[in-house]
Formats: sequence, structure tokens, C-alpha cells
Amino acid sequence: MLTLLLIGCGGGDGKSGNNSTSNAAPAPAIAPALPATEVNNAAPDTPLSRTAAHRILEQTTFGARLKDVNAISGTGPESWIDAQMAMPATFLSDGLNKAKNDRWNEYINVWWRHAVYADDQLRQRVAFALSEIFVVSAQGALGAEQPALAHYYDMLLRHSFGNYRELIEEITLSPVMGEYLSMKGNHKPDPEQNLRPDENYARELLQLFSIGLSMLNDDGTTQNDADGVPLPTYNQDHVEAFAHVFTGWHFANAEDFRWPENKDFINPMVAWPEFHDTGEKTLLNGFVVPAGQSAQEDLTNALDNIANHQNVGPFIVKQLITKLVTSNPSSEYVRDVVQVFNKNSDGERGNFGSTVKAILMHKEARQGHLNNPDTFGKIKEPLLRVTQLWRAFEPNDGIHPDFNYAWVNDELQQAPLASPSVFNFFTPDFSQPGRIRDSGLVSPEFEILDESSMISMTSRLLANSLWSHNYKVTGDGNRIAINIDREMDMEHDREALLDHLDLLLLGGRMSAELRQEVSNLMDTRDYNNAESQRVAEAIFLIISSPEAAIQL
Amino acid sequence: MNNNQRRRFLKLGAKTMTGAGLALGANPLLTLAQAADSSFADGADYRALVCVYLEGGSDGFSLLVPTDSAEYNEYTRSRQQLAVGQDQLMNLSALSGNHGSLGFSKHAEPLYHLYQEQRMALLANVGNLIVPTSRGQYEDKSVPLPAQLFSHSDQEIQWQQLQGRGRGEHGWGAAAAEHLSSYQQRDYLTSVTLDGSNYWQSGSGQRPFAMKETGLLEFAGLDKTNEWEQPRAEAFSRVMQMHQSNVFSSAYADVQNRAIRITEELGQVLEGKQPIITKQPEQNSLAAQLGMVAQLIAARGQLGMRRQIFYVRMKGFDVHDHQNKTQPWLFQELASALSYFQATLDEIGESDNVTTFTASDFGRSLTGNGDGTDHGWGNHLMVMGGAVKGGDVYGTMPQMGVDGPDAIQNGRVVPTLASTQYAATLLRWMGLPDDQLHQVLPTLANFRQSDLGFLS
Repeated sequence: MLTLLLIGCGGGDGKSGNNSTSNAAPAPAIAPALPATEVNNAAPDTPLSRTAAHRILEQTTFGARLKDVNAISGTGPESWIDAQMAMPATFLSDGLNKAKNDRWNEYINVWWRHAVYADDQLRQRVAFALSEIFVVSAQGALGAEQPALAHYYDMLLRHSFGNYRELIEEITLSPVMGEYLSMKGNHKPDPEQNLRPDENYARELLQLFSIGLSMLNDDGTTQNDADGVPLPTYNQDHVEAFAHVFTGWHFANAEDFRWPENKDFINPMVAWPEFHDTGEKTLLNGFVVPAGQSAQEDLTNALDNIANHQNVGPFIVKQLITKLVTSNPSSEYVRDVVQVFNKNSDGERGNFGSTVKAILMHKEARQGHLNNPDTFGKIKEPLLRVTQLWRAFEPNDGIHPDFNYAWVNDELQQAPLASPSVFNFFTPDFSQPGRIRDSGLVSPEFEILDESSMISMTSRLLANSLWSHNYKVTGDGNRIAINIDREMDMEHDREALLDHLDLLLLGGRMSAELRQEVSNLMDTRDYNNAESQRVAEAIFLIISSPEAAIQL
Repeated sequence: MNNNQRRRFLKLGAKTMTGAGLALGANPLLTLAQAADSSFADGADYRALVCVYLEGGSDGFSLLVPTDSAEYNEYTRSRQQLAVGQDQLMNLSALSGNHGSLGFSKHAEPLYHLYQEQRMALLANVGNLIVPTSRGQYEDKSVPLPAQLFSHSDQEIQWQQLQGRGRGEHGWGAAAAEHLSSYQQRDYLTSVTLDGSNYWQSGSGQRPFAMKETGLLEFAGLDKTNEWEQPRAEAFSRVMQMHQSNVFSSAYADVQNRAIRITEELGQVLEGKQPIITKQPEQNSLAAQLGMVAQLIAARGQLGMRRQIFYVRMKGFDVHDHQNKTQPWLFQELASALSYFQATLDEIGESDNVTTFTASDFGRSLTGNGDGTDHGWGNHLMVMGGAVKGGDVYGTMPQMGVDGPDAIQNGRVVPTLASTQYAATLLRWMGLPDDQLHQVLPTLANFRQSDLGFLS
């Protein structure tokens, strides 16, 4: 059944049409063999214990399943990563073929289905991370454009182990981004009208998608001035110059540059030479784009200029590390991975496959929690806490057709490609006041965790465990129900069940105190036929605990 | 939301009032607090600041427009098709009378009336500055400037922190709250946000309490007064109390503990309150947020609060596109929400005790980009309330020429008032003495005027 979701050779992007740029070629079904671990200070590729297997699954998937823990324990981490990277991509667009009236529901439903069931978990997880860096959002003008959003997400999936320079070109010419950050229809200056080019895309491309605001060292630390204020990477003049570069593009089928009726949200935008500014532009590091070039030539020069800036490696790598592994990587960890980003063993700059593998194989990813247990790790994103529960107790009736959970943003402050602004649901440098801020650490995910959102998220976890398991009929019709058959078989042996839940939900790191509370709570449900209640109570108390709120 | 049957919103004020005594009687903590200090009764002195944050950089230059012919012509030359037409402006009289004639956007008409009633004042050309700055000094780079001018995130944080050029450890709201929390019983309610985390109220050991515009949420399935749920709810609470050595687990438990405590404590107080009858504008998130703020202010006596700061937020001001279509709608929604809030404060008799002010990342460029504007700097802002010396424009209207003495970078306006002066005026009204003001606002001493005079 799963094969229905998977894509045959190169066919995942059937909608990319005939106007694709040369960079838009679909990923081959089977990725080329990756280089062996090439990062300095790699962890030894020794067989994983079951708890270590669970840990790498938390970093690389939407939730650890017992069968995966069992399958990869006893093997080295590298074989898991290689196997995952070789998987064909599962594309969001392909689930959307039955477009109905309720397209938002369908779009979210397909995303849940892939997050929970797709085999290419690492690619799905990396694409989700990329979607939180290269942000477009359904909140706003794109709210009714689900096929377009899915197509954008598929682009991220295609490039998850691809190349940074190719990705930003596709992003720049994406009509979805063109709409979101108003590059579509941006035109050359009109001095008579006091009109300058729109700076929106130029600014956010620099600030959020490539080099960031502050000069960085290769280890991710900022370069500061004498007052300790970070040195800026660019100024307003640069923004204005890039704004001039990104003039003269519009929807592929636009019939008019100013007020077109046609809106092709799938194919890359195309150039309109008469609206492109052909003046000279001075870009980063003093690089000059000569006058008289075409829109595509200017764009190629500008993206090369950006992609070759020294900040790209540390800026992108650090964010990927914080999304996958830990909020506060050491400078050594960042530096080692940036070296691979800057030049992998094939001599390529910006290869995401090599970078992701370096992130996961570095000794800090594999062992950092042992050296710094109090500060390592990160707060889990709310969406992941829900997918982790569903994956841990997969329904046994095959792939669940309908998750019936579309308005997820209300409860979890997150939904795929639906952040409140281009600054994502949370920003990389958010630091929760209190012990975290006082220790000079950051905690990005905390930006969306406050009393209100914690209450709604906790309530969702409770509803999805205590009220939606296969021994309880729920009032929710099609909503997915977790399957606790396996746990019911173990229920007679309390210690065995708790050992099992400890491994499955916490990777074996449950505290003795929590274990005691869980056991005591189970004791309170002591009437006849209370087994399923006891199991569900145990699951809820564990998944809602502060221990389960973090990925260590 | 499709699980209303599972999660109960405490619709504040919607329940019939059973008497404050009964509601309080259910909570020994509150009863004790009341008994211990009668100065927390409704009549005790109370002051609140409400920050209305306009996300994305609001276009003050479409709100307040010079209308003398020379100035208006200069404005239209700069703004071209984005200039607000004379027929869209309502004539403002400024008490101090040194601004020439001014027009106020008719899309914000309810605020025009508050202004004319002298309950709202305008602040001309305010922005983030470290020291007084001229066009020449900007261009020569001869004075320190806020880091990362024109960047949304940086200028928003700068506005909310005001700790110098770069990023600080705390917001000016949080630093003030640290001084103010000693006034009251529940220091966790000194800072309340209706829009989640923010920089203004964070730091210095402070973190705002987050409520939703729809009310106070309750944990599903964790009601300690329900016999079936009680063992689970108590176990859940005990798990949150366990020692956590990991900083992330520990911070997570902190938020949960406050959520647990507040649903138990605050919910009972708020449920018993009289509903506010002023009609709330529909489909207006800012109005709904402000409605919740009014509910909390109405309960301040029972909660034992004497100084509070509230944060609400309206989105959508970053008009790079479709400005002529969007801007009128933004002003309508904003004005409708603010005038509604002022009416609720009148209803509960708190007008003189509450000062509401707007803040935003930055103003917008004078020049257009086709059908919108880009990120600017100086901006016109508003302050509202019974304590405001309204009906006046404070500060100096900038010259609107793209090449004029106030403009840099193709039509971005250098501020003539600093946001730190604005903040200082607000905090002085809240009761912060001078020495504390200068601690909270370290660059204040760089400016001649530390009180702009718009509050009595």
C-alpha cells in the first residue's frame, strides 16, 4: 500500500511543466552514493544500542517506531543515513490529486499522512526544516493556493539532499515566493513617479535565506565591533542594489506585467526585459554587476554573489543543526560541518546531502547529550510531538486515510507552510527568559510555547492518547486512533510495559520519579477491564512530561 | 475549532454573576490576600500601560498628513499615487499650534473623535535613535545608530528593548515590571500578553503571562475537581514539579506550572465578573485582544493588581504591495478596536488609569515601489487615555521631500523624537522615579527632553 505514495523514477514533479529552468530537474529516484562520512570529529560508526537507535530516530524522523529501533540497533548510524538518503522522495503534490472543495483539509491531511507514514523520513524531516528557513506561508494571499504550496514544498523535498545554489535559484523564481515576498511584478525605477524597485524579496533573501544580518565566522560565532554589536553583513545600499537586480519577473502565463489576470503558481516566473533595470549594481563584497545585462544574467550573478559569501555556510548549517539536533551547538561542531558545506569530498559547495550527513555523524550529534546533559538538545516542535505519538503507536489497519485535523495552527501554533510571517513560527535566536537566557543559550521553539499554547498542545496530546485509542470509541469519526494492542499484551507485566514505554517514548531516559508516578497513576484505575485505561493513562503522563518535551 | 466539546473556554463574563464573595470564597489564597490588605480593593490606585504593537512597520505617513498647500504638494510629489487625497483627510486642530494645518485619515475616524475630545494625542516622527541624529550625521556615519536599521526583526526588538545599539537582555517593559511587581499580590500578572512571547515584556527575570483573545484556556481532562480526572490531574501536576536538570525541560515545566496555577486561580475570579456590555467589533482580532485586557482590568481589585502592562498586536502593516487597497482597511480595523477599548474603559470606570500607546517596527518609505512602500524609520504614533493631554501633536512634523533635510536612502525619514523619550514619558506616568527610568532606558540621558509632556 505504501508504494502508492511513493514516486517512480523522476515522476514526482509532474506539474513542473515545460518551463523549468535547468536547475529544476527532478531528483533521480535513487540518489547517487553519498561520500562516506567526511566530517572532522565524526563519531565512530559503531553499532547502535537500542537507546542510541531511538535517539538518532528522534533526530532524523517524525517519530521513532519500535520496528525501526529494532531494525537499526546493531548497525552503525551511517548505514541508516545512507539508506534513508537513497529512498525515493514522497511528494506532497501527489497526494493532492483528488482535489475537493475542502482543499486546506486535504493539503494538511496529505502532509500528516506523509509525516507519519512515508518511508523517506529523513528527507521529509529535512524538507520540513528547510520550509522553516525558506519560508512562504498560506497565511495571506496564498491561503487558497494549496496545489502551489504543495509544489513549493515538493521543491524543498527534491533539494533536501541537493545543492544550495540550485535551491535558491528555484526559490527566487518560484511564483509562490514571487507572490509571498512581492518580487513578482517588481519593475525598474520610474523616477518621474518616484518609484523604486520593491525591496521585500531582496532584503529577506539576504537576511533570512542566505547570509543573515551579521558577519559570521565559520564556527557560527558573530564578528562584533568594539561595542560588542555584531558587524552587519550588508547595508541599505546593498538591499537597494539587489532590489534592482530582481526586477522584470512575472508569472509564466502573465498577459500583462502590471495587472495580469493569469496566475501560474506552478511554473517558474519568466523575465520581461522591458521591466528589468539594466543599470550597474554593486553587490556584496564590492562585486559589480555590469550594466546592460538581461534579467537572467543579473539574477545568476547576484545569486552567485550571495551563494559564495562566507556567511552562507555558518548561517545555513547552524540553523539545520538547531532544527535536527540541538539548539546550542558548540563552535567546533558548527565549524566542522561548515567545512563540509563549503566543500565536500567531491569539491562541491553547498551540498545538503553531505551537510546533513555531517550534522548527524558528528560526534556532538551522537554523544553531546552525554557530555552536556543539562544544556544539550532542544525543545521539540509541537507538530513533532503529535507525529511522534502517531508513529509510536501506528494504527494497525494500514495507512490511515484521514487525520481530520486541519486547523492545527490554532492548537499547535504550527502548520506546514503556514507561519505568521517570513520570520517562521519562531526565530533562531529566541531565548526563553529565566535559566535559558541567563545561561546565554537560545531556545527557538520556546517562542511559540506560552501558557495558552501549552494548554492547547497538552490538551491535544491528551485527546490523541486517552481519548483516541483503539480500545475506545471516540466521538471524532475519522480521526486517527493510536493502536495499543502491543501494550495491552504487556499490561500484565507492569515493569516490562514501563521498560517498553520508556524506550519507545523517551529512548530509555525516563527518570525514576516519573516512572513511579506513571505506575501510581495506573494503580488508580483498578476496576475490571481497566487495562486499556491504564495503558492510555501511562502513555499520556509520559508524553506530556517535561522529559518528553525535549529531544536530547 | 472542532473540539469544543472537549475543551472548555472560560467565556469570561458570560456566566451569571453569583457574587464575588462566592467566587473568592472558593479560593482560600485570594480570600487571604483580600483580607490581608484592603488597599487592593477596587478603589486603590491603579495604572496600566497597554502596548498596541503594529506588526510590520505601520505607515504613519498615511495617517497624519500636512495639509498646508506647500507641504501637501511636497508630500504628494514624494508619495505620488500613494498620497492620501485631501478628500480622505479630516482637519485636525493641534493645541500647541505650531505644526501648520494637518489632516487625519478618515479611515481612522473614530480616533479622530477621540483626538478632538482631547483623549488622544499624536507623536510626530518617532523612531529608534541612540542619540539625536540628523541626515548629515547619518550619511557621515558620525553618530551611533541602532544596529540593523530597516530590518523588521531587529527594529521590532530594538523598539521593545531600547537597551542601546544592539540586542539587550531585556525589554523596557520587563525592566519596568521588575520595579512594579512589588506593588502587588500576583507578580505573574504584572505583564500580560495577548499575543504570546514578545521582547518588550521579557527578561530581567520577567516573562509575560500569555492569554488568548478568546479567554483563558483550560487543560482538557485535567480538572482536579472532577472525581475521575483528579488522580490524573494531580499526577500531571506532580510531574511538573519534579526537579529537571536539563534547562529545556526545566523551562518547559516552569511554563506548565504557571499555566496550571493560573487556570486554577484566575479562572475562578474572572468567571464571576460582570460582563462588559460595550459592543465588541466583530471579526477584529485586535478588538478581541483588547476586550480581554478590559476584562482583566475590571478584575484588578479582586486580583490585587495595582500596576500592569499589557501587550496586544495587530498584523498586516508591512504593505509592500496593494497599499492603496490595504491601508484604509488596516486603519479602520485599528481605529475600531482602539475606540472600542476606550469605550470599555469608560464603562468600567478605568479611563484615567489606563494609557494605551502604539508602537511599530518603523515607519515606511516616502517613495513607492509600484503599489506599496518599503521599510523606513521615523513614524507617527498615537497615545490614548484619560490621562493623555490629547488633541495635540507632540514633536515636529518632518519635511516630506525625498531629497529634503529629513530624508535619507531614497525617502526614508530620520526620526526627530526617540522611542526612548516616548517610553520614558509613559514609564514616568506609571510611577517610575528618575533614577529607575535611567536604569531602564540607558540611552535616555542622550536626549534633552526625558518627558514629552503628553501625560498628566
